[in-house]
Amino acid sequence: MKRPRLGIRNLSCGRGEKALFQGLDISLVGGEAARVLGENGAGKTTLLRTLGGLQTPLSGEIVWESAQKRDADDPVLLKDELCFVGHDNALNAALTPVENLDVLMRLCGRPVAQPRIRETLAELGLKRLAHRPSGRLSAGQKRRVSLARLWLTDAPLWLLDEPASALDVDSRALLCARMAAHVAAGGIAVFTTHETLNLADVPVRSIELTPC
Amino acid sequence: MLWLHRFGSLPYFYRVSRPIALALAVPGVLLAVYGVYGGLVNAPVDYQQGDAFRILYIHVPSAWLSLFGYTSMAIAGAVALVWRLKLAEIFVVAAAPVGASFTFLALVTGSIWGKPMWGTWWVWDARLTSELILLFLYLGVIALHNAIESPRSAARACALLSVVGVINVPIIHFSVEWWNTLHQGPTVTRFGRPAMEMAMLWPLLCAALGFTLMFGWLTLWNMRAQLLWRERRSRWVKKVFSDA
Amino acid sequence: MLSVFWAVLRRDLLLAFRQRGVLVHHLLFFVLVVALFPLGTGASPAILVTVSPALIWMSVLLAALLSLQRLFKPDYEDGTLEQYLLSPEPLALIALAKVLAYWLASGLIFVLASPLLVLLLGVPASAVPVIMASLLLGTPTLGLVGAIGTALTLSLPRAGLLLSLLIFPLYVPVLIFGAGAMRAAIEGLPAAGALYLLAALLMLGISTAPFAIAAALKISME
Repeated sequence: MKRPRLGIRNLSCGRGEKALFQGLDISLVGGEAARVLGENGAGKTTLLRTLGGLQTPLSGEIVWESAQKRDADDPVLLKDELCFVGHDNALNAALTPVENLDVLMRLCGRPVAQPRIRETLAELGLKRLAHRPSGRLSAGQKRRVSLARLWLTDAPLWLLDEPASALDVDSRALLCARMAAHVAAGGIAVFTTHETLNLADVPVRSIELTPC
Repeated sequence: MLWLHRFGSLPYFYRVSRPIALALAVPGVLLAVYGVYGGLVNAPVDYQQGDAFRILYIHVPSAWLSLFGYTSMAIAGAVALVWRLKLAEIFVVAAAPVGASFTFLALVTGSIWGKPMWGTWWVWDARLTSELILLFLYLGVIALHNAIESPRSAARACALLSVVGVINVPIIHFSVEWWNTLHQGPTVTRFGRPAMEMAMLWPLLCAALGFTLMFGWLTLWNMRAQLLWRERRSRWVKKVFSDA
Repeated sequence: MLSVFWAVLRRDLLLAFRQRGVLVHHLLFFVLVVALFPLGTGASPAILVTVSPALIWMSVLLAALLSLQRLFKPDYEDGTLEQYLLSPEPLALIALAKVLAYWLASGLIFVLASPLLVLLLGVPASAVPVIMASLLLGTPTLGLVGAIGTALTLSLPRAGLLLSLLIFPLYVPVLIFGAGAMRAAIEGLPAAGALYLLAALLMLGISTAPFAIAAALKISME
């Protein structure tokens, strides 16, 4: 099977006019994870947002080569194969975790049945909370609900911004296991983290951002 | 060498815009002075309106520029949105206050003209009302620009707003006409009739051309200022000031 | 592609239902503005009937301004908006679904409440169908145009006054044709012309505004 590839060529990103980092070059293929390193304000979130297409780079290019083939006129784009877990949880306080996840999965073009969402929440120890308004959950519980997308999606590219923030030790272990399984199955994960995330048995490369 | 790659054309623009602006300013001011003087002093008295019509030598060119300015902003705005051209973004932002000033001038002169004609300073006549709403459209662009902190986002937001606005200008004008159809026909076509004397028309055309050149000059000058501010951290701007 | 449209529509309607207290506030605002007006002008029926088109439409405009500020704000704050932008589906379609849900929840209330209010102002009952039709055709356009403004001012903490400066000039045609239709109906004149023009504005809005909203959201999120 062909492996997907994420190519970053001479990428420079910034906030407004000011460049945060310049000339980033890296190529990731399926089966590799990458941890983005850099001090506060070095542009870690900016890099993830740029990769996802939320921000336009100052210069350079991002290439996505999908493992799937459609015809040349209608290629599979990065957007079609992306799961982006941002800094914010993307959970509406008045909707339940099940309702939130249902809409989020439809938005990324991978609708899943509600029973499966409930099962996944149960696996993550959130069974009792599945039908409570998300606003009443604790910070760690909200994060776990938001991360449940990783168990529901089959997108090959994951961009995760501080996925482990507010997680307890057990949840963090679950997250690491899921990320490792995803990468071992031929996916790509690019993530930032302050906690140590130990992805056993899969190669984790480093993307070092040096401020300019 | 990122800045060279990306901002390459901006120092060039900064350099060449100065002579261009001056080349617009000199004939612009001369034509405007000639046209306004010709209209205010030399043109014969109108047999219907007496001396009051003379204000049109300022009013008509200003009203023309109020529309021309907004349309040019919208065209530049569309270019900025599609091709992400920085100079087009800066044009939108720089032209807004200049266009707003001409719109304000058109409103003031229109109301001065209205005093002897209608006996009151302000009449809710269709064209004056449209002009007033156009002023609000300009003020919206200026206010949005001032409100958004990041210059890039502010300029792009203004570009989009001016494009949305320009689609609405004819609709607004039509609706206001629909609302109030009691006013006389458009003045320029009225003046354009063959019956109108060359002695009256000629200064008006000169004034209109002169005002337009002045619009170009003022906008270019404002663009230079905006450009310096936006690029203040870049090397070429620092060099401009260290050379000076 | 349409499944995302329905999903967002359903989500926002569900939210509107869960937070139905807010909808009552919109309605109360509308009723209060209309109810306080006679206290300012005096209760002479002749005056009230004459100003009723302007009064109804201005209060609808103000209510739209107040409610539109919250159209994208919660999604912006909790990160859902990011997911809209990341979606492989067209953002314009998502924006259209959001505006439709907004209108079904808060615009439709004005249409339904209007007969009661115009009768309070002494408008003849024969004019009520035209008044409702004008609101039915006009208020969605207010939502579409206003959404562009609110998307542009999304990143600003307090955008209320600025928003009014951005969108009120654009509301002029709807105000003129809407109030024009209402006045014609009150005077017993044919109002079809104004209603057609309102319908034309709505069609133009539906076909162009979603793209402008999408572009504005992208600018605000960068």
